[in-house]
Amino acid sequence: MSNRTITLNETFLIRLSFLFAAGFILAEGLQNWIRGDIETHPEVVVLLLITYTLAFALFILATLNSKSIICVKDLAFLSLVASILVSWYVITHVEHPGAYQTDALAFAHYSAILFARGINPYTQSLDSALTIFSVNPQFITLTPTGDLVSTLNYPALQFLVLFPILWLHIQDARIMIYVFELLTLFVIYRWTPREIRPIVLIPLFAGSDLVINFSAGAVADFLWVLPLVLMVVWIDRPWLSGIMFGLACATKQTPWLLAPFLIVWFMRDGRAIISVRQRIRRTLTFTACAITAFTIPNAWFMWLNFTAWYTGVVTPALGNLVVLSQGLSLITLALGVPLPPQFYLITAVVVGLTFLVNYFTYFEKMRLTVWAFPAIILWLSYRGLQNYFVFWMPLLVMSAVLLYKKRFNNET
Amino acid sequence: MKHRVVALISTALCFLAVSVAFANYYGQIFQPSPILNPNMKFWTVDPNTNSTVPYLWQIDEIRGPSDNASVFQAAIASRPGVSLSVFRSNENESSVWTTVHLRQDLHGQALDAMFNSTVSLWVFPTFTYWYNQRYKNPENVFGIEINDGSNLVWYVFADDQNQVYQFPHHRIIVIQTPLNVWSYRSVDIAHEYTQAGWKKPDSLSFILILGTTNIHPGNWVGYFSGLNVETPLERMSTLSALNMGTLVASNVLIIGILATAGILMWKRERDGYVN
Repeated sequence: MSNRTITLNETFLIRLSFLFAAGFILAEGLQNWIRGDIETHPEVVVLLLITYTLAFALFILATLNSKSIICVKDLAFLSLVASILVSWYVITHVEHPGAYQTDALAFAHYSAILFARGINPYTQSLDSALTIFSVNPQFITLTPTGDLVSTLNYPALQFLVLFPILWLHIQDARIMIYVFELLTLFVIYRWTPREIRPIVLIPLFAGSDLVINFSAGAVADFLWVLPLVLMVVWIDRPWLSGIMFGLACATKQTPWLLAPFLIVWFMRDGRAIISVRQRIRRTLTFTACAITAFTIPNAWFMWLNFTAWYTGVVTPALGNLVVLSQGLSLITLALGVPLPPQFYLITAVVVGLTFLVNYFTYFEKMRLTVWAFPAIILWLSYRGLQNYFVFWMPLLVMSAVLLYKKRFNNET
Repeated sequence: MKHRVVALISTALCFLAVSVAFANYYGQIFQPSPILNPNMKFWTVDPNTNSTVPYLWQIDEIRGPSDNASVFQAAIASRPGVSLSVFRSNENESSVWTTVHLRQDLHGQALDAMFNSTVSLWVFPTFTYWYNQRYKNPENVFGIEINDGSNLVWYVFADDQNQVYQFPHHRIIVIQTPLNVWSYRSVDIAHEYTQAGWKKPDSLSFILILGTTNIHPGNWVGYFSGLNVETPLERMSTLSALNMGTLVASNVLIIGILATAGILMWKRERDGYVN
């Protein structure tokens, strides 16, 4: 009886996932029709015909009165991946060919080119990258002096990870972001219990920004999301999850905010069954592995010119950029409430400390809320951009799955 | 119960700390530089003129059909900068002036910041400032123009004596600057408006200008570099007594709600409602 119930539920979830995928593909089909310049790009027309056909096939399959649809249960996932690839092609090859929408990827790509020539990118002005990669002026970052940011402001793995595209002579680094994105989706999908797989990715496809527009627009956050996702997969192995966390931190500063919460995690997790000594050892193992994994990609640049590396990596973390936000600082940006960045920094720190105290105290209940904290803290900071919040979604989905697993394990 | 106290106290302390920060920092102006991309790092194509312009700047030209005007990146005397140049032909054309402008328009907060700032830059003039001795009218220019639609301020950098010419709607400040070398100069726009007796405008254009008249045809060039606007951080206003009272009352209210919630939870626990 129990197995039959699960099968029926799974069938329903598969039907639901087919309809969701079809709806998403239709929405992207319209967007690709608008941005695809179809009069001069016949291949876009072919892609549109294929994707619409796929959407209608999903319509039929979702409503077919047959349990055999369970044989094609992964079709929704594959359709969504296909939709991502089609939109990626249209955006990167038709709408913005060879043009990055952010200065960050232009600087990272240019840094990889410089480093391949034996030049330390942290000591160079990278403003040539803005021209080379035709960066959209709308998305250029300014400092309070009105000047353009033209130095590398990320840890070294941000550009070292782009080396494969240099070796393969690929001109467009956005493909690397998509590789990381597709791997992220695949890992989450495969890691999720079979019966809820059909719906597990729905939160990530709630809009097209996270899975399509940001990556196509050269927002490179999936480069750090993938190691964090793997960290969660291997969270029971502190040395491996520590390495993954270190690699995420060596790619961008955003995951740094997790560090104190993860230390609490390893200190408090499994209190009922693991001794204090073992928990301290797990925490130290995680921390040591994370520091090592962070240091290895950065060590060469630290050694070459520590000041340049430190200035480059800490600049975006401590500020020195103009107020630009979809967060709390909108009250200054749009309403003119006269508050300096220091106010927002203090607010973010105070709220972060409050989260930390409560996370420590109520760990059993709040254990898996940890991925929400950095998003909220960054929303309160003076520079809170959409990609600072939305890229925590894959981790939050994994939290929901972990809670499901825990409940399922308790029931069985 | 003791654990719930942590949530209540930490939340209350969080509100208090943020409120204190709000009261402390409220009114401190955060003004980014009113001039954006002052070092003209990134050049984009202007589809109207099919020429390249520094990002966030605009190029205006006044010239006859046989004249030429251009703006381009140049490194001279070991310093990178921007070059403004005009070629004025000998042909008798309708326009008296041939000029090239590199312009940014300012209004709102940027205008306020500009009137609270000192603008500094490196200049490299290559020609003498000529003006009509009788009427003191300029016959060429290399410098900065501040144009608010009604009034003009010109800062002219040339190897002349420091002097000021005041006309009803035009104020010319000649700042002595040696030719063919880089010199660092600073200007205070608010000061000149005060001296001229003009009101602060609603908007203005900040312009790097080079030009000549039909009296001096030929090629003329000048260079700018390292534009910098120093805006002091200062307290614009503080919370009024009323707003401070509102802030305190809000905190008292929040702490009251949290304390009430704590008492209610404690009572529920004492009466055995909590598992």
